[in-house]
Amino acid sequence: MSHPVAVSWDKPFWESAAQGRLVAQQCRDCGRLQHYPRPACIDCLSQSRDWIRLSGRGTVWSFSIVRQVADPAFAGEVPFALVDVELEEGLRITSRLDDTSVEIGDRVQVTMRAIATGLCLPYFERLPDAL
Amino acid sequence: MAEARPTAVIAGVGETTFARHSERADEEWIAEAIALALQDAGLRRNQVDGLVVATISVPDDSPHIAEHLGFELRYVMKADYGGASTLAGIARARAAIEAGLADVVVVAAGGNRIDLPTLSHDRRTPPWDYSLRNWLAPFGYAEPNGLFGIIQRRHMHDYGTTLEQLGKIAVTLRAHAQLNERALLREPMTIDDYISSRLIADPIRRADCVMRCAGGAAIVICADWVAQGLMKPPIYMRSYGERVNHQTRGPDHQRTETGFVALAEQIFCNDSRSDMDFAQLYDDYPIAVLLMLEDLGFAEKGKGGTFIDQTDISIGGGLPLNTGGGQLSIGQPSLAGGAIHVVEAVHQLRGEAGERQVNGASRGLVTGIGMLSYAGNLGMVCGAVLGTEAA
Repeated sequence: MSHPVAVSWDKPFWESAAQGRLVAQQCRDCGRLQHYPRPACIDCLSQSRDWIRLSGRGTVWSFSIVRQVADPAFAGEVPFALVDVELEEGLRITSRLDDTSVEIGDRVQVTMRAIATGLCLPYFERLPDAL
Repeated sequence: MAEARPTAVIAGVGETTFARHSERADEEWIAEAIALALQDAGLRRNQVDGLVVATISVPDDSPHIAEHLGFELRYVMKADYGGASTLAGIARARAAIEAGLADVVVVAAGGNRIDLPTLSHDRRTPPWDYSLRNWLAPFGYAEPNGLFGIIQRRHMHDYGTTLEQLGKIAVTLRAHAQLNERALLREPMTIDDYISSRLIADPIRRADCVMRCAGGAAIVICADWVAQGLMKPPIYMRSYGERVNHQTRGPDHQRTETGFVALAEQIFCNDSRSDMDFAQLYDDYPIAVLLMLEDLGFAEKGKGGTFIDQTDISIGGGLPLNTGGGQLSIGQPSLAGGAIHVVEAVHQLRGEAGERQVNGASRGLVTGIGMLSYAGNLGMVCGAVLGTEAA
């Protein structure tokens, strides 16, 4: 049960991800931006929405270094950092970063990674300080 | 003419033995716990006219579960609120009784999160919700260990909370477990043992993680007129409050603050914090206990660690915490993990806690928490003051 399954309200996310773009729902009625994708706007319940391309850049808000997982499908991937990233647009996304020397406040950039089912997941990698 | 509304009271509690391994399914543990709780109350099964099954692992609908156990009822529901299920289930049972929908309601929980049942057609529920299935599990998110690791790291970063402070919670609970023969983890633990325990989702260590086990627990709630003829004294719910989702729409993302901040006043409407003879706080992780102490107002936000430093949380101390050892040392028998805090509170209030009895305990706090929201905090929190007298 570790693979995402596209549902009616998140299909555009997966289609954009396959083309390397990180997008989020924006409500046409109130302007609310939200991630993860929801069946309706969490502010006004409107189902009228656009999908906005995000910069894909943000900072690490917090993380844990995962050394043991319950799901055997991921046992060969530890250790990795499970991260909360604060995106430039103000959204919070939980994702993964393979560099375990990460620190709170580090600048990070999204990188799409294809998984077995053909869908692409938004992982993150650290940006050099100079950028 | 309308009769006076009854007051609902806790009349009985039951706990099975807990096991590290078992081949018995959730429903079998639940059935055993119900029988034990009815025996404790001195009530017969035919007097039960309401059932609350606290579960997120039994896929069957609640009337079917009731039928499997032979119940004919006036009231049935499933409480699917994670670790908050039992306490929130008791509040619903109380409301049902006081509204006249039932007279005797059993709230039952239990299960087996280690060894899944062998019946191939018994499909267990997949990871719990859409946000988890599509947006966390695909990363190998390490379940609550990984998420509480994120929360604990940020709390340590923002407020300077230390491993020694968190470790004091785990170590004290372990000492309490040595007075509880039902606890599965009873070997002594020191702060050094805690800090050097294996990293699971750094900063979360092995000693932070509740151990899943098998078992069941149940609580009988009934109208006061039913309780009058019973051998054991009734226990009263002096206050209750719950919160479903906190800061879900912002404006600020909250990982380290919980809905308890909005609940504290309601929980302490009849009693003050200093009146609490004990606190049985839902302890899947020490950091969860620390967040609760802050958000319930025992300490200022960010000062939970200092509170732990300065407070004797052992039996005999100023705020005896999880006097049976808590889930951290007893084990977590599926959603009965939330029930063991209620059961311990009732034993303390009846004065039947044996070696670990808090002298003269007459009022105590019990909490339940469940579900971590995506990039957020606890999806469900609830708390109650239980006591030997009505409020």
